[in-house]
Amino acid sequence: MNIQVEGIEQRYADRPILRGVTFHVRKGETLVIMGGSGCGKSTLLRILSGIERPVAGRVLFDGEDIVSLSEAGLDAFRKRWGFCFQGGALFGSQTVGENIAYPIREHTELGETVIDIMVKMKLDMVGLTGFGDLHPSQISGGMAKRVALARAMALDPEVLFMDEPSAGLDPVMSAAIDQLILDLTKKTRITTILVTHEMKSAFTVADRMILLHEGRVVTEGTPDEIRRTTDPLVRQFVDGMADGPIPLRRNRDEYLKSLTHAPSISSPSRKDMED
Amino acid sequence: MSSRWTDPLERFGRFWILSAEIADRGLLRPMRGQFPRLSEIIRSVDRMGVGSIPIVVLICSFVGMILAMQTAYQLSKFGATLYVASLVSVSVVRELGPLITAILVSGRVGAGVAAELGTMAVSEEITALRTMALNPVKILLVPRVIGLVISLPILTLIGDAVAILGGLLIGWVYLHLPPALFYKVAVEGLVMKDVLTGFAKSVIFAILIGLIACYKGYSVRGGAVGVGTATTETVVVSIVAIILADLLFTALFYFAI
Repeated sequence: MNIQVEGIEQRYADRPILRGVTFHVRKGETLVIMGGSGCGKSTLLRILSGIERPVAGRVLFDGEDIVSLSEAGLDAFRKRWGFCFQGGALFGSQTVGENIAYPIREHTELGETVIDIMVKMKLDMVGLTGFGDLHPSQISGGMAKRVALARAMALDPEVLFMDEPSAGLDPVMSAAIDQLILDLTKKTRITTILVTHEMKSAFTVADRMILLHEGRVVTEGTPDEIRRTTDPLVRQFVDGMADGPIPLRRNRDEYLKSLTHAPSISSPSRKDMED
Repeated sequence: MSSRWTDPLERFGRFWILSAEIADRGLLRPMRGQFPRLSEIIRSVDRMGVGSIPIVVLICSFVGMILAMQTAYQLSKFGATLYVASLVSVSVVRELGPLITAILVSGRVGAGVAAELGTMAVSEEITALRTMALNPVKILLVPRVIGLVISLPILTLIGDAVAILGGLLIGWVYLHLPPALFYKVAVEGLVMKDVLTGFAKSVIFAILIGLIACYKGYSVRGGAVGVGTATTETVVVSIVAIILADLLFTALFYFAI
């Protein structure tokens, strides 16, 4: 599926989260959305996958705008997508195998024997052969993420959405997940949109990447282009530096404003404080 | 308008929108042949109904005993202790059986449903269902409400029976009333209308507990605190709703029918 995202805006209680995000994803490529905490990247992924609706903008899947679709219309698309949640979002009352079988049982008329074989294949695919009978509470965080990936791939979707697949894992497991995603996406040529703030992950799996900052796309390019960029904001993010254009500390005026709730502090009151 | 006034209104509106969707998928669509999954309903009845039998038996038998002792204390002054039997049976079947059982179930089942759905909402399991093109109302909420509507009237009947048995035990041991006589007076004191009003009340209470617990659990935001708040609110709001509905229902039957 070709995906075209045009002018997406989102607000939570009058606080702007996304301010006109525009980009595209070509069929079969892996696009990584990078950005710091709170930059709106997870919100963007939720909008692209139809979980949330934006206040403005369009999301076109092969030319059809999903923003204006009804829930029933969205469901037709959702059957062709897979979504891998940050925390896994596995059903706690079901075993690992049942979790993977669930979308297959719900959306197909396949018999239990065929479903069993499909579940085993998906578990093999993510390197968890033989773990089907365990419950989500009995497996590690890294395994849960792999099960979530297997469940997202259960119906062989055309588009895969992934939210922070390697966040919160040890470096070895994180690298293993990245390699798994890379293998999967290259073998299946599935269109993938992946959100992460882990640079190593991003550079490993991406065909192209975009960087979100304060609700806007500030850069877009291949991993090599991003590596070579001289843009100070992108450099700060890629190199993981504390100092740079990305403001981590508020200036004095903003700090005073937040303390006093004053609408403006460029007036005599500020002068008083300086004195 | 300040959010202090609009928030409760918004919540009330959302409650009715969700209730309408549950009614549509649990009542209207089955009439057109789209049934909710039977296995889920059976699982709900097992967990909510069968699992609640011990506590209902225990509490209702005690309530029957207490009622017998309290009424015997008064009626013995008039030498009319035999009427303890009909007093217990009528007050239990019409009022106390449905009420006590519903309050017990709101604490045991309502809180459980809210906590379970709330945890699923917080861990994004409900969102995961939506991303799989599956409707959470149909899959999670409707079987639970139907499970309650099946379970509570049956639990109420069990509660009624053991409460009368509790009264019978007190009558036998303490008031020296033969069990056969107690049973005869207790049953003769009842008319069909008593049984039907008690049954109708338990159905309404089940719907109220189911809708409130589902709404509170389904709309949880904000992690563990949100789940805790939803659980507490489910019990408190359910009990208030049950008593209020009981008052309206009793007034309706007392004045109108």
